[in-house]
Order: sequence, then structure tokens, then C-alpha cells
Amino acid sequence: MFIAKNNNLIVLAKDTQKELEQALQFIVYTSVEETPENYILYNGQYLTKNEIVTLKENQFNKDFFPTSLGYVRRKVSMATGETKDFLSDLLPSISLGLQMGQPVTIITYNKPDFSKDNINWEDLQKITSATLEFVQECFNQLKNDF
Amino acid sequence: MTNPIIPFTFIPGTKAKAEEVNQNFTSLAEKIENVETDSTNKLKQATNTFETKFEDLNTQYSDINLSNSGVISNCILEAPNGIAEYENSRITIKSGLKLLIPNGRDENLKFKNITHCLPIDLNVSVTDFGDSERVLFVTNSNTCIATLAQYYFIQNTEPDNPDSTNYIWFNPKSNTLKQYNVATEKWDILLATEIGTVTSKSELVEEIKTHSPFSILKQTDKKEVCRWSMPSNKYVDFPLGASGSTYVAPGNGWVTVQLKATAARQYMQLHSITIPVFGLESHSVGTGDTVKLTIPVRKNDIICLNYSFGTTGNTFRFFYAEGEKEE
Repeated sequence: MFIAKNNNLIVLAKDTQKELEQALQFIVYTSVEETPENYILYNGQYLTKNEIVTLKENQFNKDFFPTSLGYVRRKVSMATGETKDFLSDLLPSISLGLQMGQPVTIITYNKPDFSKDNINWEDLQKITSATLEFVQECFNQLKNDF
Repeated sequence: MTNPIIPFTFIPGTKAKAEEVNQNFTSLAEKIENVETDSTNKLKQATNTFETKFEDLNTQYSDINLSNSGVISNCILEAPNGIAEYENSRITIKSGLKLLIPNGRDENLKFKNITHCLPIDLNVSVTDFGDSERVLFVTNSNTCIATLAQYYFIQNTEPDNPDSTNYIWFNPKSNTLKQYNVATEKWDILLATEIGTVTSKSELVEEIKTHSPFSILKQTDKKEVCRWSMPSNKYVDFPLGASGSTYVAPGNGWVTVQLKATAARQYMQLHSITIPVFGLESHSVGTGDTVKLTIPVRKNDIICLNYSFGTTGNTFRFFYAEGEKEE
């Protein structure tokens, strides 16, 4: 693969030198190099497959937290269109419901395969009943966050 | 008391004769008539003098084809046999082409020009041009210079880092055309006029776009002039590089970018490095949102695109301004 750099930033990557040179007509660059790595443009950055997997995993760990029932999404989109924070907005209601002996349904997720280009989140969803142990794990997470 | 205009003077207490009174009136009437004729003649003479001087001035400053008006420069004045034609790898620039070659300004800052008429057809071969777009110049020594379009600059300041004789610079402020001299590392005056552009491919002429002979803009043309700065339908696609990549505008026009979000809160920022206050930014609200940004740019302006959007379904284009598009 051939890459064009502007100082240290990889600005463009193409399979052949000819393709790269044609595409560089309007881009500012300082050097062209051949590399054995396979670079992919991912959300504005040229990264290797492994770097993308790491980036996706890091992002997943920021957006979700683990429990014994599966991974829980921190920012939950409600049917009304509004976004709620699971730990601060929803957890108190879930806890209260369980204490009153009512069944409470929650959605958790399996960990995705980050090497796949597209992640289908619906396939990873698990609709399950919340437990007191789950609630305790969530409160522990809230404590850890602070 | 006597007066040369009035022949008879009457003393109070004496009788005036009707004949003498009439003679006084006749004398006055003759004098008035003389004054009237004299004034008319003098006015006619002044008018004639004014008209002659006005015509002289008109001839001096306007001439029949405005060549020495001092208000136009660097253009084709007349093209009685056409401007240029081509066949295979050969361009023929037509004889009779009358050019106004820029040659500085006078002490009143009016344009100085050299009027040059091409005496014979001028043949140019594109076999050494490669696959390129070049700007054609005709010199006052009846030669043609074809420089790569990206090395031709029209601006008031000296182009940065010139490194070959391909660099040609027209400075509208000083009304001079200059070519870079690699040996002296200085800009030499080039007595020539730009006549158009040629695109060549595989040693053959693909297209020639010539400038039309000069015509005067009128007040009623202002809407048309306004339209020239608007985006045309002619565009080139920019390759979408990494976030933070910088791009060079190939002409005067508009850059537009459209990206599709793969998550919420992704951002996109398009701005000019050359004019830092020119820029726009936006962000996605949810997955699948499409965000579009468009800014105006001048030729050779550097623009920068920062983004964290996904890269599928993107459009990143430079649209030439109407005035940049050849008719």
C-alpha cells in the first residue's frame, strides 16, 4: 500500500502508487511512502485493522459497563426520542420497582466482535429481568465512576 | 455731455427736434444689432474650439479600439481570423490577433500597454506537454508560451516558492506579467498576453478554451457580474483524506462536503487556512444524519477539513465559480 503524509499525518492511502498520485492533485502532502501495513480510513483517521479494533473496543468500554446480566448502555435512547443516563436517571426507578416486588425488564448487550466492519446492535441485545444483584452491581459502577 | 453712441444731446428748457431724437434711436438700434452679431460669432467660435479640443482628447484617450485608453489591459482586442484552432497534436494561433500586452502603469496609474498584432499564423505542438492543462500566452516576439495551469498566478503578491520557469505571475496592481528566472532567482518581465488554455492527453489536443475579444461592461451587466461569483455546475471531486488534511483550491469557487454520521455527536469542520475566519462546523445528532458544509474559496487558497464522521456516502467537491467556467 502507498501512503501520503503531511509531516506525520497520513493524509491519504491507496493500493497503488498511480492511484495515490492521481488523488493527490489537490491535497497538500510532504512525502509518499510504500508500507506493508493495510490502512483504512476510519472516522477521519487512517488506521490499521488492529488499531481500529482497539479504538472500537475502547469506545465500547466508554459507552457500556459490564454486569452479570451483560453489558449495559450508559446513554439510553427512549421511545420518546430523549436520551437518559442509565445510572442516574433509570437505576433509582428499577431499584424501587424491585423492592416493591414488581418485575422490571431491562436490555443488556453481548460484547461485539470488533473485527467486523458493521456491528448490528439489535443482534447483540438481550431482554432480561433485572435482579437485586444486578442493581447492586450498577450502584457499585456508579461509585466507581466517581 | 457728448456720447459717441448718441449723436445729439438735449439741454433742459430747449425744444428737441423729432429728426434728431429719431437719429439717436437709430444709432442705438445699430449698436445693439452689432453687439448681438458679435456675441453670436464669438459663441460659435468658442463652441468650435471646444468641439475640436474634445475630439482631440477623445482620440488621444480612447482611440477607435480603446487600445490606449489606459483603462484596459492584458486582453485580446481583435481576432479577425479567430483566435486558435487545433488538429491532432498541433495548435494554430491565428494571424491578425491583436493583443494588448500589459506593460506597467503610468504616473496617473493608468494602464500602459503594447499593442501587438500577430503577423502570421503561429503553430504550437503539444507532443511534449504530457497529460496536462496549460495556459497559452502570445509574446510580442510572436512566440507562444504554454505554462502548466497550476503555475499561473493572478495576484497582487509574489507567489510562494517558485522553482521553475513554468511559474508565470500576472500582477494586476502593477499591470505586469512576469516569468520566474531560475538562474537569477528573480522575476523577469514577460511581454505577452494570455489567450486561453489547452488540455492535452496522450500527445493530442483534447480541448482549447480561448478568451473572447475585449468587450466593455455596462452598468446593466452588474447582475451578470454578480452571477460570476456563484457556483457553476462544473466541479472536480476531492479525495476524502484523513481528518486534518489540507487541500488546494484549483480555481475560484466553492468547496462543499457532505458526510454521513455513523454515531451521534460526530463533528465536521470545514475552514480556510488562507482566510482563517472563513469556516463552518456542525455535528450529528444521531446515526445516519447527513451534514453538509459549503464555503467560498479563491484559487490556490488552502482549506482544511476536520471530521470524525464515517466515510461512506460522502461527497467532497470543488465547484468552479460561474466566472471561472469557460463558455
